[in-house]
Formats: sequence, structure tokens, C-alpha cells
Amino acid sequence: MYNVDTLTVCRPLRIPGVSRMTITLRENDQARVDQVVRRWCSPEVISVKNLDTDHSYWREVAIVKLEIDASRVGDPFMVAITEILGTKVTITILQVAGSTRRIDAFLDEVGQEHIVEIARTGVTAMEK
Amino acid sequence: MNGKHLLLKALKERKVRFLFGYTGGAIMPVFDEMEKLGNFEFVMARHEQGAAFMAQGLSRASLSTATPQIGVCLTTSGPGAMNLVTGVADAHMDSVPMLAITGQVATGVIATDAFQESDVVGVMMPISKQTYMPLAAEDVEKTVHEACYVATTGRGGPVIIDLPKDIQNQQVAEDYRFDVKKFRPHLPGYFYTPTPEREPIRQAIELINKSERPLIFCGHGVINSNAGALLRRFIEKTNIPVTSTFHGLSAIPADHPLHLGMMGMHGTVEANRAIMEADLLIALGMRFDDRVTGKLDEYARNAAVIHVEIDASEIDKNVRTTVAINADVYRTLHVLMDDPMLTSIPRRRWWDKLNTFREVMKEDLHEEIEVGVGNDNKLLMKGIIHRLSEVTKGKDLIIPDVGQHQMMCARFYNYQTNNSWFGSGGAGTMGALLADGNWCKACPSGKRAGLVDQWRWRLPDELSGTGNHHGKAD
Ligand SMILES: Cc1ncc(C[n+]2csc(CCOP(=O)(O)OP(=O)(O)O)c2C)c(N)n1
Repeated sequence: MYNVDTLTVCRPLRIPGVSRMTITLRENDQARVDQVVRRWCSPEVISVKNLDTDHSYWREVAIVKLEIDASRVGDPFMVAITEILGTKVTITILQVAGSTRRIDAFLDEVGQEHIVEIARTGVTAMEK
Repeated sequence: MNGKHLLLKALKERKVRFLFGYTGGAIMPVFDEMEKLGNFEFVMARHEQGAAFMAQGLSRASLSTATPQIGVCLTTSGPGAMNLVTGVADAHMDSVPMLAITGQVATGVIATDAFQESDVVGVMMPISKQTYMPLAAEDVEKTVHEACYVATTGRGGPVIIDLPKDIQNQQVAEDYRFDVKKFRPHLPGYFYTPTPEREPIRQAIELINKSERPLIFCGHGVINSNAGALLRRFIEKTNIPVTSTFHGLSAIPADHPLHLGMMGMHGTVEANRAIMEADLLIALGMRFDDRVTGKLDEYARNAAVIHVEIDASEIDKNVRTTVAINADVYRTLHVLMDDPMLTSIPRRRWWDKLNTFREVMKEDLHEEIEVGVGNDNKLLMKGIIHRLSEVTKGKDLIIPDVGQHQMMCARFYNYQTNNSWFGSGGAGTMGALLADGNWCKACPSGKRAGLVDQWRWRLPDELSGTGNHHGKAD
């Protein structure tokens, strides 16, 4: 059994009916990953590529609603990695984009207690 | 020209003669067209599940003939299509090529819970090889040809065409042209590689030559690629013992001196002990099902594994391979046989050991079969099957239903003819027999014996209901 961790879908080419998906699994055993990838090959699928973190770019976007002091939103770390989408009284909505690690680091830095809501795309990736 | 006409035209071009099914509102236009054309033999089942198994029976039995046929069933939408589910799932588990054509409600009302609407594509996707829903009459012909191609190439399987009622009646554009001779399916991601690569063959031969205790697994792929006779030459050349999976039985004669019988939970002592002692398993066209392996972490711990399999997704699924050969069994055996590096070794010590395994149950079984009745004074199934085997000289087509008698047929019938045995294996569907069995007569492989125990004699008859019209199993 395996479990899909994240899944993103887009229409990368101007060919009707063709989608590109980036799917991530949590699995330490590379042979199992390879086997699952082979199982995805079906008449419906054009091609499946196995991307590893060293040889591909992995990116995602998160939109985060925070209940936080305005002063903290202005601190250099926050300014460096986020973009403010909107503010209302004590609520700030931010966008943070980049690697999964960067988004996780941002969320850790902010602290769970300040996060009201998160929308996160999951990973999209491309070979280097 | 309209969708329904093109559907039947394409089936004719695919040499389809029989259609198995049951009518209903959403498939009515196709039935009317079929009546008009008058060039199909339609077989009405009493239940769509029976139609699915009849289609399977035709595919399975004709597989090893010079003219393999694809079994096609035809049903209405909603309840008709849903009644096919068990038969489709069964074909998927056993890699049986089959085409199921289901009527669907008109495109204008799809996804509105219209009368007799079910999401057939959604239901069938995980239990079939491929599903289609043509949304224009121009797509119908091409879809039928592509569907038959997908169902019958590589590892076989069931394919579904869910055809909305308005598309059945829709006229094609005036400039519509389709040339079947020029048609090539455009499936860039669908490929299978019949011919083995050089490097794994070299590695396999090295392992085989070096092995002291090798064992061959004869799987369904041996039957499907018609490699039985070749496998026999291969084992006779290399002196390697062979054991069969449920679906591999009858590829080589069951009483061949190098054959150890069926493996796994219901298998022979000698086959299972051989697996435990082997230093090399050569698995031909099989999938290491749990009834074959039991506990995976204790399975064949001493053995390297060569896995020959046309479906790449089976490789490393249950058992880790040492050498993977993603190819057709027949071609692989051919390449191996022709390789001058393959050596013939007597392997006497291995055979001495295997012969002691053979002795373990031999006398007890022999006595039971001779006596033929158990402690409760009732006839023993193994005795009956053994007698049947003697009477038929092991030559007839044997199709069991599901249960104890099925395993007895697997163990105690002395198969002598290629593809002379099949039944519902992976799914184990009770009731598969009669529908399956009746339709084997469409293939010229001689006499048939359908075996069913007491429980469900009624059920298959209800499913197929064609026994009286088309002759029961002989
Ligand atoms: C459709 C379906 N329902 C239930 C089962 C579970 N099942 C497997 S074998 C069996 C009993 C079979 O009895 P019988 O037909 O008398 O054959 P026997 O095992 O005695 O040879 C049952 C109920 C099944 N395999 N398929």
C-alpha cells in the first residue's frame, strides 16, 4: 500500500486533454517508489518520470492567514520570504513560495498559535 | 452513418462473431442496428454477470488456438453495466482480454442522476485495463480498434467502452473518413517490450549456470504466450525442475518427470519444499500472488530470483528480483535456448533431494485415491478427479467453479493438453464456471468438462441460462 502525500495538476501544453501532474509519496525504500511509478504507467498515461530532490527543482506556494502583531510582519526574515496579500485589523494574509523546506521553516518561525488558516498547493517539480 | 453502425462495423472488422449480453433502454439503438445488420450471433444471458463470464470463456479458450477471439459483452447503462462489475474485475485479476460495451445515458444528462445512470467509467477504472467514453460519433470506430488493441496486447485485460445513447444515434460529419488499414493507436505512454534485452539475459544465464538448486515457476504467461512446448524443451535441456501456478497448469504435461505439480497454499509438498530449498527461482509470467508466497518475509529466503514478466509493474511488487526481464515469456525462452552459454547440468544432488520430497505424501495419497472413499464413507473428491483424468486421458478441457473441487482439479487432474484448464483464479468468483464453460465450445479444442460442487449449481445456471440453447458441458 502507498499513500499520495501531495498532488498538483496543470495543463502545461496547449494540447487539449493533456495534464501534467506532480505527485509525491512518503516512502524511504527507493525500490518501492520505483515499483509504484511502474504501476502508474497505463494506456492513459503518456510518461512517468521519477524526480529526486538532488536533480530537480521542487516548489510550492502557501497562502497563510495569521493573527499576529503588525511589527512581526515587518521583521527582516518575514519581509525577505513573504509577500503580503492583505491585512485587516489583527489579521494578515501572506503568501510564501519556494521549496517545501522554506515554507516549513516559515511556519515554524511564525508559530502554530498564530496561524488561523493555511492553503498550500503541494509540490510542483521539474528536472534540472 | 452513425455511432451505432460504426461500433458494429468496427467489431466486425475485428472479427467479432459473438456478442453476449442483455438489452435495455440506453443500448437499444445498438440492438436495433444489430438486428438490422444481422451478422452477429447474439447470446442473451439471464444476468449480465453471466454475459461477462461467457465473453471471458471465449477469450480464455481461444487464446491458444490459431484464431484467438476477443469476448465482447453488450449491456445497458446503470444496472446493466453494474451487473458486469464482478465479471470485469475477475477478467482484470486473471489478465483475460475482453471488451465490455455499455450503453450510457445521453451526454446532455450525464452527471444529473438521470434514469439508469451510473458512473461506469468511475466504477470500472480501477478494475479494468482501460475505459473509454466516446463523446462524438467520429470517435467510435477508432475507440473500438484501440480498445481491442489494448485488451489483447502486452498483459491482457478487460476494456470498457461506455457509449452515450445520443452518440449511438449521432451522424458523423460528411467528410468523416476512417481507414482501418492505416489506423495505428496513438498511445505514447502504452508500450510493452516483447523482446528481452541483452544484459539481463546474460546475467540470467550466469545465474542459471552457477545455480545448484534452481527451480522454474510456470505461470499464466507461459500459456498466454503459447510457450508450453518451448518450456518443455528448456527444462529437458537444463534439467531444471518446474512447478506451476494455478494459471500455469496444463502448459506442460502434469506428469512430466521434471514437473513437481502446483505450488502454493493448495500445492504439492514437493513444489513447496523445493521453493524453500532452492537457490534460484526462475519465474515465468507470474505475479507472486499471496496464495503462492504466504508470508513474504519468510518466502524463498535462500533464492536469487529471475523474474520474466511482460507487465513491468509486477516486477519487484511482491518479491525482490535479482534479475528482471521485462519481456514476453516465449521470446525470452527462445533467446535463452539459443544462447551457446547456457549449459546442461545434471544437478543430481538436487534431484535426489526433490525425489525424497516427492515420497513424503506419495503413499498416503496413492492409498486415498485407490480407496476413493473417506472416513465418513463418502466419495473423495481427489478420487473422483483422478478417475475423470483416467477416463479422459487428461486430454479434455477442464473448467472448475470455485472452491475445494477447484483445488482438487488443480492437484489431481493429469493435464496433457496446452491451455486445457482455466477458471476464476485471482478473484475466485463462484458461478464463473457455467457461463465460462458454455462458451468454450466456440473454440475448436475438443471436449469439455465443467465441474461444480453442490452449492451453487443453481447460480451459474441462472447467470448463463444458455445451457439449453447452446448445449451444456459435454
Ligand atoms: C461469488 C462468491 N461468493 C462467495 C464465495 C466464497 N466461497 C468460496 S468457496 C465457497 C463454497 C463452495 O462450495 P461448493 O460450490 O459446494 O464447492 P466445494 O468447495 O465444496 O468444492 C464459497 C461460499 C466466492 N468465492 N464467490
